[in-house]
Amino acid sequence: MLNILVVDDSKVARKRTIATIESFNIEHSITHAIDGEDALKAFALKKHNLVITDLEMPNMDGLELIAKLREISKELDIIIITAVANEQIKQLFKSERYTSFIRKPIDTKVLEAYLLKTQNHILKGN
Amino acid sequence: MLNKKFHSISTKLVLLISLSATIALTLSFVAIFIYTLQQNKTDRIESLSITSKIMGQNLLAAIDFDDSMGADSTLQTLSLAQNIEAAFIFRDEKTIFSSYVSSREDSKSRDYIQNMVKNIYKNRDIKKNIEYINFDHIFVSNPILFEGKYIASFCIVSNTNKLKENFIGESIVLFFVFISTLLIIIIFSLKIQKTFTSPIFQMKEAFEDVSLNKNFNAKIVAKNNDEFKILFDGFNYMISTIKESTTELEKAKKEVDEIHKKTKASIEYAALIQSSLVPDINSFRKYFDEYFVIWHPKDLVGGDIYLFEELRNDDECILMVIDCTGHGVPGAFVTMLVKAIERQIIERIKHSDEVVSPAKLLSVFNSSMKHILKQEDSMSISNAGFDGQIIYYNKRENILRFASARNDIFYYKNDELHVVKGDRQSIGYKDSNIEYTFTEHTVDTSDGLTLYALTDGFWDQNGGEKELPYGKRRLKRMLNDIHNESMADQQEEFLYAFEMYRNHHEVNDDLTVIGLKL
Repeated sequence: MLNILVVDDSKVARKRTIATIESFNIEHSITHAIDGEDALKAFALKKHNLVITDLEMPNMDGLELIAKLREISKELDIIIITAVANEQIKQLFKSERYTSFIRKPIDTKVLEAYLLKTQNHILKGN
Repeated sequence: MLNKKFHSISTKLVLLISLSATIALTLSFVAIFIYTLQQNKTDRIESLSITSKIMGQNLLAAIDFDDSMGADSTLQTLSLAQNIEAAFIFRDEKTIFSSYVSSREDSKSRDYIQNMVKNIYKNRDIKKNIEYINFDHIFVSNPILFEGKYIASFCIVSNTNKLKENFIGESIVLFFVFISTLLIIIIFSLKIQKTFTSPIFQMKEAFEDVSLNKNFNAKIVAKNNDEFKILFDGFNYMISTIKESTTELEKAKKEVDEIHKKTKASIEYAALIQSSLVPDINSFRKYFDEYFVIWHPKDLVGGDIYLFEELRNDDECILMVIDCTGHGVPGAFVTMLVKAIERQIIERIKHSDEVVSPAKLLSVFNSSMKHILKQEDSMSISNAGFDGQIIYYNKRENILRFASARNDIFYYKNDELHVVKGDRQSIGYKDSNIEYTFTEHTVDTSDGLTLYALTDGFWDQNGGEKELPYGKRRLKRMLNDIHNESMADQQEEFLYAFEMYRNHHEVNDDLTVIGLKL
């Protein structure tokens, strides 16, 4: 089962992302967080195998959150969702196998494909 | 589409020939059979009729002298004929003068024959020639004339055994001839189908070789000099032409792929360079309580760019939202030029005490662009430029100053929407006025303010049921609905509204939307 952590400072965006995930035929549980700090607390409480995070957030932004998560797990699947098509940031994660990018607003099919990819990753890991 | 069951043409051909042959043979044999049957019947009747006439002449004297004993004796000679069952001499329809009934017949049969003869005479004219046939008997009657005058009728009754025997014998012969002919036709049709379908199968195999194995060296060799040879030669020529074209196409594709790979790598690197011009999103945090940025070049690189600079102290900053000519690579080139001019302007501001005036900065951009792109010359072929907004913010003085070339600025103050129309003058371009003075707007921000600067990629996006542009009226309605939400939520609503309206319609242009809450 996929344990997903959705991190976004927009309540509307979180709601839409969760609704999109729930429309897929993929067994999952979802936790949500409003920024990087909140996400780290949620991550400490429960083992998640996928983090979907926005980049631009107050307190702790997406980049800082990813850096902290990578200290915990190198193989955690992370999907970055962003409204700014910044190639420099993409370049930062180019060599990272388990980090993906999705441009906002989320393309349903693309997200589903990433979720299935994560599911396969978990199955292989087990 | 329904998948019909596959039937080989060889099977179809054999079936077709065999079926046609069977129908033709059956019709022919039925005709022969009916003709033979009829002929046998006619021959038999004719034979009986001759016998009847001969017997009638021989009996003329006996009838004339009323010598029935003599007549009986003459009739008795008919016992030599196996098929004759009876013979009668009638004076009239009812009166039998003399008769002969075969000793092979029992009394019941004799009565039957006699009644049959009387019944025939009852319905026919006894003085005329009569022929009658049923399943078991043949009846022939002839009048006996003496000196042209009717004196009696002679009738002869034969069984149909001979006819039946002939019928069975001929049926067996015809049946065997029929079967033999049919077998010969089937054997011939197999031979014919092989002759005609063998080249077709050759072609089929060659086509499969080409389509499945991609063997463009496949060739068909004709065994005979006929129409198939013309077809085969055509096929061989076609395949050799396809082979040549495919080789050329593959070569061209390889070259195009190589060019595409290089171009893609080049544009990807250009995108990396262009995104380095985009400010760090965190730099907004120092000046604005809340904000959001949407920056979506239509392609990897684009003509939209936003620039944000801190100025002489921690209170002053400047934001530029720039929409350069076109999109893609040409647009990206112009953004580089804009960035270069912007760097010079910012450096000049940083080293001076002058009041920052966005309107003047737009004029500087205008003259610089025209100068660099040599647009002062009417013969110049360069017609690039940009539309955009420049927004200066002084946090300490609670002042917001802005000016705009073409693109509007939207802001909410005291919960009221203000739309500041951009001047109808672009920056750069051959026909723009180098002396043009842009309108500057100043707004007090001490009571707070929410501002939106967009490029036309948002309101010009086609979509909806009629595929019309999104429009500024729809944009204002959306702003009225969302302006009190958090900026993070407003970003989501902007993106959602854009995607919902666009639906499956292609993105028209680069898109930049910046929202600031002061």
